[in-house]
Amino acid sequence: MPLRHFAAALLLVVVLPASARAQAEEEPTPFWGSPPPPEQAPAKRKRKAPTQLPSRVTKSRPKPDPRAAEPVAPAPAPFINQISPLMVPDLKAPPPPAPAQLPQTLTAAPHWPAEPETESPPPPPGPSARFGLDLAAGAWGKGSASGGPRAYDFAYGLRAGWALRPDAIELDLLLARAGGTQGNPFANATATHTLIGLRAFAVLGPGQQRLALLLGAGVGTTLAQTHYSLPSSGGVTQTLDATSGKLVIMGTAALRLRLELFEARAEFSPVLRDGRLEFLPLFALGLGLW
Amino acid sequence: MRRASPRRVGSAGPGLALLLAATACSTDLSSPFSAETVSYDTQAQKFHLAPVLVATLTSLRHLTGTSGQVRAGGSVEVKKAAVLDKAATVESLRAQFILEPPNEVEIAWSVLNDIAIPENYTSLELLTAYSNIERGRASFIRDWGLAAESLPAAPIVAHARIVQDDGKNSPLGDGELYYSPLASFYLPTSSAQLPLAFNLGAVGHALGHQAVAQLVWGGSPVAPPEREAQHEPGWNTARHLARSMTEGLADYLGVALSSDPRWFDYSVAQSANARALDTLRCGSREMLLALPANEETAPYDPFPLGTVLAGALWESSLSGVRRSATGVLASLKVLGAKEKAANGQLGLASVLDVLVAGADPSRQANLCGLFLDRFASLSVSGLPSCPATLVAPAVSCH
Repeated sequence: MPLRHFAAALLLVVVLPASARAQAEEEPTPFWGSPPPPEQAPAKRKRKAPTQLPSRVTKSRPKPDPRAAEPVAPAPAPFINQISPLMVPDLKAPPPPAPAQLPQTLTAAPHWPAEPETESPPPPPGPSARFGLDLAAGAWGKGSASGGPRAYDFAYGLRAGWALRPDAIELDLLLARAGGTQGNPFANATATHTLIGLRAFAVLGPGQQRLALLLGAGVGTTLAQTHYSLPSSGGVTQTLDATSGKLVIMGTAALRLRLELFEARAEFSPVLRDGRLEFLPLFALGLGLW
Repeated sequence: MRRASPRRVGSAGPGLALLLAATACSTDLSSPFSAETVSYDTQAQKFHLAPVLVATLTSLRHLTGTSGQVRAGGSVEVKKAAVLDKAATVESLRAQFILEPPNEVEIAWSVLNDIAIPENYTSLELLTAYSNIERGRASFIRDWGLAAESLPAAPIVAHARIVQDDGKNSPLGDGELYYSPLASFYLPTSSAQLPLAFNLGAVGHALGHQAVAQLVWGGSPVAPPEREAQHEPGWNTARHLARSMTEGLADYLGVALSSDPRWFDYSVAQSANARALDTLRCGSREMLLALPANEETAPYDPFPLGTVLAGALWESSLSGVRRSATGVLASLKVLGAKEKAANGQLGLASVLDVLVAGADPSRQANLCGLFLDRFASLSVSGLPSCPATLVAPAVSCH
């Protein structure tokens, strides 16, 4: 009988701990069980009241290095036993709440899966200034002095753009020129207008999109060059040239398409010149640094 | 400084806006000012671009002034039957014929060296038209003594669509700018020659039509004989004579205004040789026979007889245009009175006699000698107003 008691005690001391260790490797650690030793440096254990147990445990996120242009890849998800200090039963503390009140995930899964990043990384800081240079062609509709419909002359020009705030505000300098000849072989005049305008645009919608709508306004000046020709009966042609400048106010609605380094714009500008409303529809193609 | 800055910004904002508004919004100019137009150099006898003084414009931008208002565009459809209606007036015909009224014009110009220079061809054309009409009216009224109310400022319409019943042809003849049924100047849309509005002679011719319509026909849309029986020889003669007299007086006044007896060459080249006044013009028996003829059988050309009248008047003007032109304009009202007294049937001799009576006394002998020589083939053998002693023309038709 004492021998039987001794054998049973030996079985309890030797076999059961070994069996429990083997079972521990196969089954998740119950919250009341003691945590296995960490593989590397063990985390400093701090005691916390079980009532402060968070309903959802979040893993720590690596801090992005502000100097790096590319976002830092997230670290591998830690095992649940790294936060096991929270699970250590404190014999001196009040008894923990019933296991049924604990979150299901906490009881079901011993390891937290690695969660994907829910917040996108901050956009990379772009260049503070972005330039573009376009060639433009279109028409310049000038009102007729005789009150008739507008006469449209072929217009061409150059546009230099600068994105003051790439997603919001852009400035550009527009040079456009158009001219036409009226009259008959006995008296005629060639009138050419050159517009030099500075405009500011508000980019409507997401500025990083390929297609964007821009609304703008600006001021400028037009140089009117008129060349008169009056052939006389004697065969000598009398000519007269006159050049003058006038300030203008203009508004513009533009549709912009950007593909890599290329930019295409279709724009329409009402131009107020000396009280006359003139229309300047232009199509521009160009290259840029954006 | 911190407090001053916002104030400065606050005051500069409206100032800048006003500056921009003032520069981008409409500007205007009123007379007197100099403007570059197409004008005729009578000494060099050629057209050239030169600054002229514009004296009567209240708005250069809209070409409005005491010499009239230039408008443009619109549509006019003339019905001949309505014109010949005895009850028709200029106002009733305007209401009936003008389908679409003309628009206000918008002249574009720049000021360089205190000279307004039109910015495009249309502005140059319209401004030149106004300037020439102003210049012509000044000569008629100020230099040649016509009462201002006898030559009221008439509408000046450029580039209008004006057609007859057929919907194609213009009721205005070649070289004509004035259309008396509507008492308006119509500037043609296009021209293969020098535009009539650039030609001071053509403008003088048009003002001559206006003066005759106002003073001889009493503001009637057409000459009264035009509304009478169409196939009656007496009325045919009165009608044709009225047309020839009107064209002759208008041609003479155009030549007198431009001091160019060949102003027709530039704008009415197709009939220039037949109308030039530097050539001896004599009446003929054919002209006399053409007067009573029916229009259906032989359309009447008013210019041959009219040119004889204009040529004689121009010859008498060679010693001074002003006196002769003043005499011609002074005769118009008397011609109107005589026409009424003759119940619309004014004879050629009566017309010539009134012109002699209205001429400056220093010119009457010369004018009488010219008329009796040039119109001898048309049975004009004596004029009651001629002085006892006549001056024979330097070159005779016989």
